[in-house]
Parts: sequence; C-alpha cells; structure tokens
Amino acid sequence: MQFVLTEEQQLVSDTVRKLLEKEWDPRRDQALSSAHAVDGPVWRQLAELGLLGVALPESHGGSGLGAVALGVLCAEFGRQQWRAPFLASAVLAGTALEQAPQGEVRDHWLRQLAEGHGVLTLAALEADAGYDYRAIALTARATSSGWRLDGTKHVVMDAACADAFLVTCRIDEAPALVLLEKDHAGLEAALFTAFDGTSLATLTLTDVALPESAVIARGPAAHNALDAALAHAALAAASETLGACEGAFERTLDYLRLREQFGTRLATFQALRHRASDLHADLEMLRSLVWGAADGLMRDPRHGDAFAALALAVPVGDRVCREAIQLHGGIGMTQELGIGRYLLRVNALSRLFGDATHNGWRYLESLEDEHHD
Amino acid sequence: MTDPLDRREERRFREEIREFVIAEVPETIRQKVAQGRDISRAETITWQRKLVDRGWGAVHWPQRWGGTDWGLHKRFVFEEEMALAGAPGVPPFNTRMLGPILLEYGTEEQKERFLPGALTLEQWWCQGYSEPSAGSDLASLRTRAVREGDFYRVNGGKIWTSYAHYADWMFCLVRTNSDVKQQKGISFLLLDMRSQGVSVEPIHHFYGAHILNQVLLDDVRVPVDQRIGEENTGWTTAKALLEHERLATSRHAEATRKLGRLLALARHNRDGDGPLYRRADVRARIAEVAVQVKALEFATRRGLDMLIRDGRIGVFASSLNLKGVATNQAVDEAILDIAGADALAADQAYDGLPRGLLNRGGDARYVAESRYYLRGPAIAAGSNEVQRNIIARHALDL
Ligand SMILES: Cc1cc2nc3c(=O)[nH]c(=O)nc-3n(C[C@H](O)[C@H](O)[C@H](O)COP(=O)(O)OP(=O)(O)OC[C@H]3O[C@@H](n4cnc5c(N)ncnc54)[C@H](O)[C@@H]3O)c2cc1C
Repeated sequence: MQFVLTEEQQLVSDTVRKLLEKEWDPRRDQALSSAHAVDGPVWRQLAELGLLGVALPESHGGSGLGAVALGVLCAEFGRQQWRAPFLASAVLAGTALEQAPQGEVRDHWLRQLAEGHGVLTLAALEADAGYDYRAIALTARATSSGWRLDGTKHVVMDAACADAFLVTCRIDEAPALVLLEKDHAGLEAALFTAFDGTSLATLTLTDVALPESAVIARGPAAHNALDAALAHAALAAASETLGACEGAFERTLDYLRLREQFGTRLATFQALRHRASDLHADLEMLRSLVWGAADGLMRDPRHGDAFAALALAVPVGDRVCREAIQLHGGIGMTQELGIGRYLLRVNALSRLFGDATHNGWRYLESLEDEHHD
Repeated sequence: MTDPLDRREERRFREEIREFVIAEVPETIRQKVAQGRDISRAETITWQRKLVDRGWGAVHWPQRWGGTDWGLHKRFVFEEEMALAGAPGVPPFNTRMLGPILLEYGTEEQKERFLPGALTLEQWWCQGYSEPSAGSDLASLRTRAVREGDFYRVNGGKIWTSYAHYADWMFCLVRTNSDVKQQKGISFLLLDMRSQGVSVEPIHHFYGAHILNQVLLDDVRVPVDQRIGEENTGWTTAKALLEHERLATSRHAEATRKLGRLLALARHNRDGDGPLYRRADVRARIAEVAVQVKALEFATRRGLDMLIRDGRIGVFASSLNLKGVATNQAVDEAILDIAGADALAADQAYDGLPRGLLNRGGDARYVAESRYYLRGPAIAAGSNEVQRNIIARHALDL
C-alpha cells in the first residue's frame, strides 16, 4: 500500500496546482457553470498533458497513471475550486467506456475523450431511485424497425457541453449502456445550474432509435462498467472533497493565526485550538481512507473501499467547510472571501453521488460480497 | 532488520499466527476476549509463557533477551493478526513499557536482573506515574524520594495504578529535587511491591470492574541500584515511549474484530419483523461505524509506513490516538444498541443460562462492560484534550 506519492504522481499534483493558480480564478469566474470550462485554457492544457485520461490506458490516448493520480488531480481541483465536466466526462463516462468491451464506437469515443476532442457524460439516474444509479427502469421497446427508447434521465452532468451521452437502459430485461451523440433525433436536454455551479440537465428521450452500433455493453458487461464508473466517481468525489477541505482548513488556520480579538490572536483560545485539532484528526482519517481506497481501485476497478471513502468524505467535508465559515466570523459569509464556496461544492458532490448513508450501504454491500467469495 | 514481507510470506505468517491462537488459547478465554472481558492474572501468565516458548513473548526486543530480529512490518503484522485472531491482550507494562526502558537506559546488571522476569511475567509490573494531584500535569508529581546512603526513602502515593493488585514490582516516578524546574527533579525507580510500607487499595470502575488501585508509599526503602539512569533524569526516561508503541494506540485490529461482532449480532438478533440487519437504520448505523474502522485501519498502515520510511510517526500519533479511541468507542456503542435488552445481562450467573434467553439472538453478554471499559483510554496516557493540545501546537502551529 502506498501513502506517499511517486515522483510521477507528485509531478501531476504540482503541474495542476501551478496551472490552476495561473489560469483560474474562482472569484472572477463565479458566474460561469462547469460546462464553460471546456472552452477555457485549463481544460485545453489538461488535454495536452494527457490528464483528461489520467487513469485511462495509454493504448486509448490516456496516461495510464491509475486511480491514485486521479485522486491527486481531483484533490487539486477541490482545493482550487475548479468547476469543469471532469467528473462527468473523464471519470464517469471515461471509466464506463474503458470497462466496456472493445468496439469501434467505444474505442473511438474513448480516444476522443482522453485526447480532449470530445466531452461525454453519463445519463443514468432515474426518478424515484434516490441515488441508486443501478436502478434502471428505462426499457427499450421492440419495433419493426429495431429498438426504441422513451423516458427521462435526471441529474445529467454537463449535458450543456457534451458531445455524446452514455445512457443506461434495459434491452430484453438485461441492463445496457448505449451511446447517443448529442444531435441524435429525440434527445432533449432541459438545462439548469446547481448551487455549486455544476451544469445539470434532465434528459428526455422521445422515440429514440437505437441502432445496434449504439449498444456499448449489455448484461453483466454493462453492469460491471457502470459499477466501475461509480466506484471511480466515488473516489474522485471523495478526493475532491478532501482537497476542498484542505483548502478551507489551511485558509482558516491562517486566519486564526492573524486575527486578533480581546487583545490576542484567535489561535490562543483553547476552544478554537481544540476545534481545529478535531478537524485535523478528521482530515487525517479521510486522507488515509482516500489513499487506501485509491490503492484498492488500482487492483480492482470496482473495489468497494471507494464508497467508504465517500461515505466518510460527506460528513467530514460538511463539518470542515462549515467550521471554516464559522471560524472566520462575518467575513466567512461573504462571496468576496469565497470560503463558503467549499461548502457549496462538498454538499453538491454528496447530492450528486449519494450521502453518507447511501455510500455506507454500498460499502457494507461490498463487504458482504467479500465474505461470499 | 529484515525487509517487508511479500504478499505470500505475509499470508503464510498470518495463517501460522491464527493456527497458534486456535491451538493455544482455550475456548473459555477466547470467549472472554470476544466479549471484551479481562482475563485473570493466572490466565494472562499462562498465555504469556506460551508466547515466550514460541519465541513470541516480546517480538520487539532484541533476540538476545528473548525477542526477535523481525523488521517493523513483520512485527506490525504479528500484532495485528494476534488481535484479529482474538488472542488475549497482555498488559503493556512488562514488555512494552518497562522492557524498552531497561534496554535503553538500564545498566547490564539491571537488564540481567529484570528483563527475564519481565518477559515471563515471573515479575508482574505496574506503572506508578499518576498521583492524586498530578494527572495530565504529571510533572507536578510530589511523591518524595530522599537519599539515605544506598537507599531512597520514598513517601507519598500513586493513584490509578492499573493492576497494582496483581503486581510484584512497580516502576515509578518520584521527586528527588524540589528546587529546580519540575521536570528536572524527577527520578525513575523500580520498587518491590512487597517492601515494607507499600499498601494497595482497590478503586472500582463505575460499572464494577477492579483494574485500578491507589498505592500508598509510607517510608518505603528502595535501593539506589534500582534507579534507572542518573538521579533527576526520570522524566526523559519516562517520555521515551518507543515510536512503534504509539501505533498501537489506534487499536485498529481490535476495532475490526469488534465490527465482526457487531455484524453477527445484527444478523442474529431480531425484532418483530426479522433480523435487525434488515432494517435500513441499523445498516446505516453499522455502515457508519464500518467506514470509521476502515479509515482507522488505513491510517494505522500509514503510520507504519511513516515509521518504516522516517523512523518516526511524530504528531500523527495524536490523531491515531484520538481517532482510535473514538472509533473503538463508536463500535462499542453500536454493539450495545444492537444488543438491545440482552445487554442488560451483566451478571456472571448469566454465563450459565442458555444462550438467547431474552432473545433468540447472538451472544450479547458483557457488551456493556466492554463499552464502559473503553471510556478509560480517552483519559489515560494523554487524554483526548491533551492530544488536541499537542495537535494544535505541533501539527497546526497555532
Ligand atoms: C483506565 C485508566 C488506567 C490508568 N492506568 C494508569 C496506570 O497504570 N498508571 C498511571 O500512572 N496512571 C494511570 N492512569 C492515570 C491517567 O494517566 C490519568 O488519569 C491521566 O493522566 C489524567 O489525569 P487525571 O485523571 O488526574 O485528570 P486531570 O488531569 O485532572 O484531567 C481532568 C480533565 O481535564 C482535562 N484537562 C487536563 N489538562 C488539560 C489541559 N491542559 N487542557 C485541556 N483540558 C485539560 C482532561 O483531559 C480531563 O478531561 C489510568 C487512568 C485510567 C482512566
């Protein structure tokens, strides 16, 4: 197990940190949703560096650096409050495609995605399914001219800039992953923006024709691809939360060291010192778990520890980012300071990929599977 | 030191340990361990002797004194697997606290005289640091030792002395100089509990257990050759807890084992609708605990990694301590809740009653005792608050 970065991983971290420091200002770009990032310099440079496919195999245009580097990258995004379709495209769609069986369409889009020529997203979540991306009711209808789809997908990230959608559905009862390009007849995305600036859509499918070539994976292969995508997304979200917490916490410590009240620095008050120490200990646990979970995904792309990582990241993220606001006092509430944006982001991540209970259940499920093996 | 074990060696080593525990720990004791209960003095000694015979009595000591030449990784695996397998714990005072101190600061004669007995528990040791007016602020201790020729005359007393009622010897801190900075006037003495003037009074835990004691010292004569190190250097000696000891405070393997118990109880115990495990709230509760346990496991491995790489864990040990205690408490509290009414059965007589008398469920005996016991580690040896002070100063630079 690895708890320090390799030279290569450290390089990823340093490069991205510098890139964001230079090219990205979360305050300036406050009003822009995540979908706008694909037109910006950071996205372009990440593509050139091969980091849009950080964990994807080199044979498909990725860097093959694995889940640890993915985590490092997402932590940096969290720390610097970068909003982009990275989770949607590089993580969710990228992992699902990579885990799907080889095929012309799959290979083509995997390369497009890794090289930054195309943005994909996953359309999986349905109404009344909570956070369960695996609950698929949308069923293809057999017609004389082939399969057709009618239905709705919710919480589709970055549909606004997606060139293609990976849609989950059922064909002949079996789960399936199908790839539909954005101008495919019968697709309509109703766009809105989440409270953290993530671009979202409700995707309506009306009499959508499903050629055989659109079917990327079917049956257990579809199931496995989706599970791997969700596990990687859980790790990415947990890593991003960790990075957000680190950013919020470091700024808060700086403030405690500087700000004076009652004739002394805030850092001299034991009540505040102890609160900071508790947050530190929480973060040490989260850091350990995120690294351990990334290591797990390097060995098994569906490893359940990733869900444990997110299940811990949700409450720790909420607590650290809330406390960051509280310990700043009035200035903590301001858009100008922007410390509160960390809270928006970590809360949004848990609305996207499930709260602590949901991810905790998934982790328990994975423990049970281990016992049955 | 040998290199880290590879995966296959590690697997084989773990099997070897598990087989040893199955072969050598009688069912009655295994059950006590599973239930989180203390084992008796005699049972502890019997177990320690089996370990000594196997060469595993003090794996972190040098071979010359009955230890091993294992590297850090192998020792870690050993301790982890022992705890997972449900081997009884041996109080740390002999091999984990006194041993390393003797090895580091003792004279050759002192090592010859005390290490063999410490290994076999021929001499059971207790730790006499805390006093009624010196707890977290240990350096303010007042028990006085006055030099009289080849002896010290010791007056005062110690409190919260775990297992003093079992002990043959006590290593303790005494004041030998009151005119200097507090830390500079403390000496480290080895005191025979059978000396004239020593008396031990029991202190019962609020739930009844007898582990703690008060030790009164009234004109006790301690030979000068039972002092470790120079006079007035006792503080440094006592503070030099070995870095790898600090890993153990996370109790991660204990937490993992107890998580198994929690799952078993939730699967066996039922309410009107079936096994408790079917309930979403129960699974959420267990998941919350399981996630903490997993984080603690990885954090402990990270600590090991720091130890192997840098030779020290540093202030990370305080996070491990805080979270180790909190996580173990969280598992215990969940077990108590899932055990429901069964948890009321605290009385020895319940041992003789048929299993599942209250409930058709799993074995919930003594869960309360185990849960209340775990309040102690949050106070002892650097309370939670003291750990927070350390983190604020040394990790956060506040
Ligand atoms: C189960 C158990 C076993 C023990 N075994 C032994 C043993 O074998 N040998 C031995 O020598 N001792 C032993 N002890 C004693 C233990 O080391 C002391 O209890 C501990 O050092 C705390 O001291 P105290 O009890 O006097 O509490 P105090 O120091 O009086 O603390 C009372 C409360 O105040 C808090 N507090 C104290 N100082 C500060 C501060 N600076 N900032 C913020 N909060 C603070 C504490 O955290 C605690 O909550 C044992 C204790 C327990 C509970």
